[in-house]
Amino acid sequence: MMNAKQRARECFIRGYRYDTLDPDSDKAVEAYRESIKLDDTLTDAYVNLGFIYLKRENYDEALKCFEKVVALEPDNPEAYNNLGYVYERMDRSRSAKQIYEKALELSPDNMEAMLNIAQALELEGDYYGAVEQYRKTIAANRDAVAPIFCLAVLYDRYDMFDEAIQEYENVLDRDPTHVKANFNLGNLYVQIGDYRKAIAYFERVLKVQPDSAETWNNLGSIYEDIGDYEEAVTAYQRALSLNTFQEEAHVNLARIQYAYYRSNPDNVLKEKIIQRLNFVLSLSPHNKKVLQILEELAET
Amino acid sequence: MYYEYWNLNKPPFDNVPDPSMYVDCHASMESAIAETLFGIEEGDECIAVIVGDVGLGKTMSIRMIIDSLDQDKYRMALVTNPGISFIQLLREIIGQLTGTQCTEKRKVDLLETFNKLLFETLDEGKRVVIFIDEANAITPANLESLRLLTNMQQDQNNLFTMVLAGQIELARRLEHPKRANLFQRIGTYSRIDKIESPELVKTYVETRLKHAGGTTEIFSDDAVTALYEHSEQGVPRLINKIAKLSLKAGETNHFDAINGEVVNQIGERFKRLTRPAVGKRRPRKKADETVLREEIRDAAYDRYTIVGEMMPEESDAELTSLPEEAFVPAEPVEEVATEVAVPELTIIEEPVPETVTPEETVEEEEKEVVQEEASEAIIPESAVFEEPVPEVTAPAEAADEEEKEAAQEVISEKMVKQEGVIEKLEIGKYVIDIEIPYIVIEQAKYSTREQRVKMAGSLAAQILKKNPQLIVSHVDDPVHIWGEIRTVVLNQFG
Repeated sequence: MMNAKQRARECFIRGYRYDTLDPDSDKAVEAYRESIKLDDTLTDAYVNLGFIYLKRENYDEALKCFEKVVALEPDNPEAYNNLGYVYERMDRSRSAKQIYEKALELSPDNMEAMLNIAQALELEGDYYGAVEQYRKTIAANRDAVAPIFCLAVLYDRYDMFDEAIQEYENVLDRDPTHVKANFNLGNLYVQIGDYRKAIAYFERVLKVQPDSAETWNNLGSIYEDIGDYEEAVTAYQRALSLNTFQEEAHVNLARIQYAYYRSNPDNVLKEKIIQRLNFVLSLSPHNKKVLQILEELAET
Repeated sequence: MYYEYWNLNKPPFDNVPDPSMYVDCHASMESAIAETLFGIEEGDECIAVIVGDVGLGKTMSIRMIIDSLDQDKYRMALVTNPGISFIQLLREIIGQLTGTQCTEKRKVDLLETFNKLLFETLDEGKRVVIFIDEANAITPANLESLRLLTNMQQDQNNLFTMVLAGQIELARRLEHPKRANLFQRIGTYSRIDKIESPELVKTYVETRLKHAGGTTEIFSDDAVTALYEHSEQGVPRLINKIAKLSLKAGETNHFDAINGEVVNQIGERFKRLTRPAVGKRRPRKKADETVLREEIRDAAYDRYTIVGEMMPEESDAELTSLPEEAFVPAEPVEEVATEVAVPELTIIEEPVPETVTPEETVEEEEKEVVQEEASEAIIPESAVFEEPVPEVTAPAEAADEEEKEAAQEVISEKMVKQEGVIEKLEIGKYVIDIEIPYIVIEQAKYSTREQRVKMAGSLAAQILKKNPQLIVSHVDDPVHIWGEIRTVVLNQFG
């Protein structure tokens, strides 16, 4: 005869199977709930259940689960990180920050808690606070890439080009194949107008991820800028073959076609351009660039 | 540094909060900050409002107001997502003001705690200031509850100031005649606008350059005009970005000044790019995965041995050959900026059922607002279709108000599964079912031709997304396929 704890564990394992190996989240929820009923101290069940609710964006239920985990494991910083994350997803950034600080009290070098606090500060628009917190995190975790990358993205978002480039390069010093750092550096160099460097970084992305539609789109924009329209069209089409719904590539392709149409008016081409633009509008009804080209086309 | 090339002593166009760079620059933002600060510090105002479109600097204004207030004189709370229930909102505010998590669950207890907190703060010689960003996301019911909160003021002076910042939608809501009670409590009402003309952009640019130590003109008149055009007619954040990139380009190319050609080139350049990729959130720890994997394998083995069979090799192989990622928890992943957002078919949360709003007056007002908003939503401007919300009543004996509010949220999320017309369409070697919900066909009847085309386009895009097999061939132009689907849908609309 199995006791309640054993049966709870069995239910939990069933839930875990439905959670991961044979996905059926309703059955997973049912099994986890059953395991909790049998053993209300089974932390793992609360954690996994909490994650399912998070994925379903049922934050109130997720909150209950992770609060229970904190009650069961008050000395576990991970429990506070998870609870804080629920608050963060609810956009209750200050509450999230308070919880992350508790994780940090328990484990002063906990990188995840330090990063989470920085991200909560970012959410509040506290740029300087976030920079300082990321710097602290980097200082406490010299070999870690994540805090440096997060700081780089913060700089990037605030258009602090030089600072962002410096931090992305610091990421690449530690991990030369870091796809996002390479991609974002490529983007930054396009904006600065250094196309040689931009192409080099995008090519590094494509070595690791040859199917990156965004990278093909951005390469296309470089070719377009230097007047190599044939290469640009090829790159945009490549992007679209990889991701049909890549809006930027559709718009960029339509813009090149429109430029061609202006010098060689042709109604069939005009209709094709309009159809492409309408397709983008079906994905993003207020796309300003599309509306502008359509307006111009209507006048021709 | 690039700014030294231009004989400046600091960067003039950084997009970070810097009070020294806002004097005389962006007049409407500067006055919003000044008026709100005055309202808090001198005017003892009950409510201060800041409205403005996306990207014009509301959040930065709030940050600058918070940074400018004397921390010894004020207890402050900042709420960035007021779309949560009123009970959660109140808990969040109390939690921030006290610096500890608030665990009260009942609205009445929360209100009492809040009231006590106001007086405690007053006794300490301080005042409470509550900032609510994105206040346009406050539900009509919460807006009314916030009004009731403002009743907790003394006759002679206000115990707290509430600063509401939001998009233009907030202004519309506040100005609604039904909210006259709330509106009359507003002490300062500021609106942040774009920088309205090339002439004002010129003043803005020159003032910032002057504040950075500039003494000569750097941007020519045609450069300023181009700045205005490429910044969506005066969005300060875009002006800063393009101006900064122009100065950097000028340094690289050893220019003496920035002309329109440089600005045009830069303005065009970044429009074509996707946004930066952001980091995914770190995986959080679930149950001990190594142990679990073993346990699952054991459990599977037990089952097979119980029935007297050997465990098939492939089952074991399946378990053990799972990549590590399969054991990583379903990830709370931060949205990647480069992902394409495709509209969902059914989004409309209103109307809220009558039974769930506690105060009758709120309920009546709520219904009117809902009707007002629903009538706007019916026009499928964004080709988002409505589905009726089922009539569901809240649990009669909800344990507490939080549960009632939770029930309300659940109800508003429930949607009826629609049936509709199914058309078959042959594309290449595939035949797909195109399901057009009756509700959409019905809605199309009352729409203009232009709206029907938009609705059909949106539906076609979703069908295309759900049928990726149609677009695996690189030869087929997906836009053409989308066009075919749209035609089928349009035919059904008549």
